[in-house]
Amino acid sequence: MESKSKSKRVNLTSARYKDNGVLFVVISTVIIALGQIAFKLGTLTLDLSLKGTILNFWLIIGLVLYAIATVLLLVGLKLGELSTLYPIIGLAYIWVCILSFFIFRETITLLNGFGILLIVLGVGLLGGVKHG
Amino acid sequence: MDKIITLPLMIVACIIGAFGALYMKKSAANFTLKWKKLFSNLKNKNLMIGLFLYAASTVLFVILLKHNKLMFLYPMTSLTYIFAIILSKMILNERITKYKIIAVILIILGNIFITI
Repeated sequence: MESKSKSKRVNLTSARYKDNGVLFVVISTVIIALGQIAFKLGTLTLDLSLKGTILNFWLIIGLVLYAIATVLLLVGLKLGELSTLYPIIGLAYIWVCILSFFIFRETITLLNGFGILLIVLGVGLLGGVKHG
Repeated sequence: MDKIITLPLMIVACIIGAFGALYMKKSAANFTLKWKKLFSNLKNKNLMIGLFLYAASTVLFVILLKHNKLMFLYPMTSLTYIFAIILSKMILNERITKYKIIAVILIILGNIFITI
């Protein structure tokens, strides 16, 4: 009985993992958010000459993070539907909000918190419900 | 910049972004991370088109950003989800369930609240 329920759980997990690629897109959004923070750090130290822009350390880091995020998105899209996966990118807003709070000391208002809740609900609905 | 010009341009940027997502999805089946085949991704036409459209929509967004407040533009990027869903229904024949519609509405509202 115990092993049966265990294998059922494993199957469910692997089926979801194979079916819709949600996990890859979720990780991708974390990296997108880190990339955006890097871009913000880049603009803080940016001198607007061409050389200064191209060689800006944080802008390069940001671009590398974006590239990694794009690869993860593509792997996710291999596994699942566009209409399920694409809106999950909205999660990036949450990570940016939280990271900005810690790194730039930006405030999170009650309304922002409500926004976070709505996004989590929406993404949970996309990721958690089995779609035909 | 006038909001009357900004709004349609922003919608154009979102539509271009959604087409970018569509081509990325089309490319994904042939996308490979195998070390020896890594360069074959450069020959993946859909991938190149998708990346180009992504870049184009980003450039347009940055240009608009120069003349507008982030707070006004950022939530509007979530319009891309709506166009992406419409395209995945029309072109990829994906099923749009009521859960997907509710989820997208929640995410877009969330994006608005998190930005203001």
